[in-house]
Amino acid sequence: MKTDSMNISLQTPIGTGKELPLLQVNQLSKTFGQRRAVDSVSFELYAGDVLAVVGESGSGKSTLLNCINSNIEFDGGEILYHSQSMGTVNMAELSEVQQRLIKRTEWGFVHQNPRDGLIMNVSAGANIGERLMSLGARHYGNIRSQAIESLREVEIDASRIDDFPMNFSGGMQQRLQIARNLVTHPRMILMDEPTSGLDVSVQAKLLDLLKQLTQRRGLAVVIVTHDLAVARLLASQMMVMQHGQVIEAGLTDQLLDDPQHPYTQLLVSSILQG
Amino acid sequence: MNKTIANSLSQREFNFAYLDEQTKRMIRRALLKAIAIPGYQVPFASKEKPLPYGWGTGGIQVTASIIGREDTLKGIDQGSADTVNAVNIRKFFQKTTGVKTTENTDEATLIQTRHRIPEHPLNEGQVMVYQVPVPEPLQRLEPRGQETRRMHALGDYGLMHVKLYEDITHFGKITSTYDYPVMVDHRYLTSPSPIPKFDNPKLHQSKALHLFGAGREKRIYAIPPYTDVQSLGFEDHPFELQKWSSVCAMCGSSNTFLDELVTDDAGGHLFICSDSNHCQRTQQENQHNEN
Amino acid sequence: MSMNTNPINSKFDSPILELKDVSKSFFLHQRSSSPFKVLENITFSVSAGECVALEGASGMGKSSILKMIHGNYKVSAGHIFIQHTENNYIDVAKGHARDILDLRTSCINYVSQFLRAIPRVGAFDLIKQEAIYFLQKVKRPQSHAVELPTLILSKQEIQDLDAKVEAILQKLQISPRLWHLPPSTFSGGEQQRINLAKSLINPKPLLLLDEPSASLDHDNTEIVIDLIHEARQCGTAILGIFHDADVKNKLMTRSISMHDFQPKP
Repeated sequence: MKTDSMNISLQTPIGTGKELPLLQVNQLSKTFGQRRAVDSVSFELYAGDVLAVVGESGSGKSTLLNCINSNIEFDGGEILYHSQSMGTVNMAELSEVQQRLIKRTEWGFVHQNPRDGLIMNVSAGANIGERLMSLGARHYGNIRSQAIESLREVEIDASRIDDFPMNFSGGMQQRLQIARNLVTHPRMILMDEPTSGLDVSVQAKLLDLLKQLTQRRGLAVVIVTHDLAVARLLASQMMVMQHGQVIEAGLTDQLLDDPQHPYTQLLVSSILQG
Repeated sequence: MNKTIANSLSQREFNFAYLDEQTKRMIRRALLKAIAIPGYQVPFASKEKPLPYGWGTGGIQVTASIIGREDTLKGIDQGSADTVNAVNIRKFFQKTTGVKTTENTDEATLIQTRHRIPEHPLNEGQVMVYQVPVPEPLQRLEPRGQETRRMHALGDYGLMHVKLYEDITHFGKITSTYDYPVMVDHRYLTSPSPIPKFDNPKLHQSKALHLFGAGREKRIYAIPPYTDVQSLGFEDHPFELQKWSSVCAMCGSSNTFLDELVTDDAGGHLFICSDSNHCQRTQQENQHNEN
Repeated sequence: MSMNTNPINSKFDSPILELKDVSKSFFLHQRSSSPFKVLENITFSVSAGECVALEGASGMGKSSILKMIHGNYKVSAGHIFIQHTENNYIDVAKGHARDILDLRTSCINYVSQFLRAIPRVGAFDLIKQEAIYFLQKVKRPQSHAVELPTLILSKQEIQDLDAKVEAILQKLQISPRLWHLPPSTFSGGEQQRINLAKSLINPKPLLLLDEPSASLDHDNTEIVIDLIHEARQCGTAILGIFHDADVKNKLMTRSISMHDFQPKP
């Protein structure tokens, strides 16, 4: 084939002009005293993307997630989000009421420890229904049936709707936490090490569920994990963090199979081979 | 004013209604703010009183701040004007102000109450003062003050509805029978004080001014006249009034709050109106009708 | 872009795949401070209906070429153009993650030597999920919206999918007894056939094959040859590595020698 006979239109990334990013993080920074925990991190997230943020303890990955969700205040940079109701907004410019609304309806946050993301002394149904009630749902029967629907989606038996999360296993608590987040049909979910502390078989089950959910609902996900196997399974894209900086980013399988940066290579080579 | 009273007053070492004028001013400011923001808890500097916290100091401070020489005061405790608490509070104000007191709801301009609202509808110009133990309706669900203040600020009362949901889930119905939470003016979640839920509807669009004082917790709030007050519930599990199986043994009333009285050791009991004043009037009416 | 069963989407003479001056070097920082080059000057193309075989001894970098095309390896220099829509090409070497993911979903089927099994998911569901993702991608409108609506397939669509998966599993002689077991427990040959099923169930314009018949017995090898042949008949562009000379000769329309791409000393 003659190369000069081809009319090659060099592409621009699909993102330009066709789809808009759901989330844009620009030069995000967070300093604790002298230490830069997050150092000018930038990335974009589109609907359907599953992005893993990996790194060792102290890399700043959890801090980054907490900054995005405004669990902690960041010092520099900005977070732009394309909201359903308001178009693209700068999160810092929204009132607390607006921020809370977005975080409760369009976003979800799954904590590492399910106890941080659940009300332990009310029933599973109430846990799931809480967001709905806080948004004005006032029909007991409807709230309950939505809760049952959510439980089914995370593979918890509907008969457990009146049980307390205190009596659930760790994996089940985590799935309940996910259900609690999904009930408002969010577009983006942030997850902080959702599988740490779980038994391997339980982890596998949870990861499988997460994969199905993200695919089916077209969610955008940012998942922080130190476990590269989790990243490989769940995430199509990955960012490697070290000392608060993103040292390498790209396709998950590319970073794991052909890592370029010395630190990435070190991380990847440290995976225990079964 | 009676000459004797005036004389006795001038011999006293304390001010009219016990509190000094500065304190009254401070409390009145808090009251004005509370009236301007119906249902919102206004902090105030609760002063030392000649009785400990837990005995109605909040209500007493509110009454003391607004009572005037022309007022007629009624005190009720659990619906009755002749229980220990009611009697003592009435005596206190008689001693420190010399104002007229009454047991008739109709004649009172100022009514201080513990845990009940009179059965007879109140009129414009009347003021109800409530003694409140726990002003924060979310207290038992969320002990952190910082969080509850945020919930009030954002109007985010999901937690309260969670509690009601849990009641229905585990008990089949909402279990609160007193201090039943209400939404005031469609904005603030408020504790109506430990009145039975039977009395909640009386707050809705009432012609009177309702003032709430919590001495130990140092909060004042208010429901101005003609304000919407709605008891919480679900569309399919709405707020329900209490019902009794019998009528008042004294006046035959079937639409008032009844107290149960145990009459003997054999389990005998009867029901009597909690609002003694109202019961008497109904009895008088009955007699009048019979004649 | 309409993706139907017939992947011929180019009425023009232009190839589906084109490599231009591609080279690959590895920087293994732990081993040495300087990179070592494994491939250079790779220039060739593959058109619809062709089956091009890469020839050369093991270790010459054949798999690496496939991996670079798939986006699994980074391209050190040069361009790899893959036809995305009619007359619109994407350069994989540019490395835009979302573009490569899009290519993988709609344009490239890659049969590697290893099956990445997801824990707990049975063979049938594994393949079915591939088909569902593909269908969802096709069905989701290329709109300007930010949303990706939840996709619910109709009963009929699911039935059709199930039938498709059953058909290909039967063709590849995977016993129904194995369908709901996770492939991690299968033999090498069984895993390889699941791998092929995953890639052949959704016809896409470009098919990359890395030793598709290794670990297969004679009968299964024949079946696989038929399937690949069928794909080529439908207009798929195929680039493959075939260790078995017999298989290679039955399938390829031409070959490319790896000798041309070895770095000059």
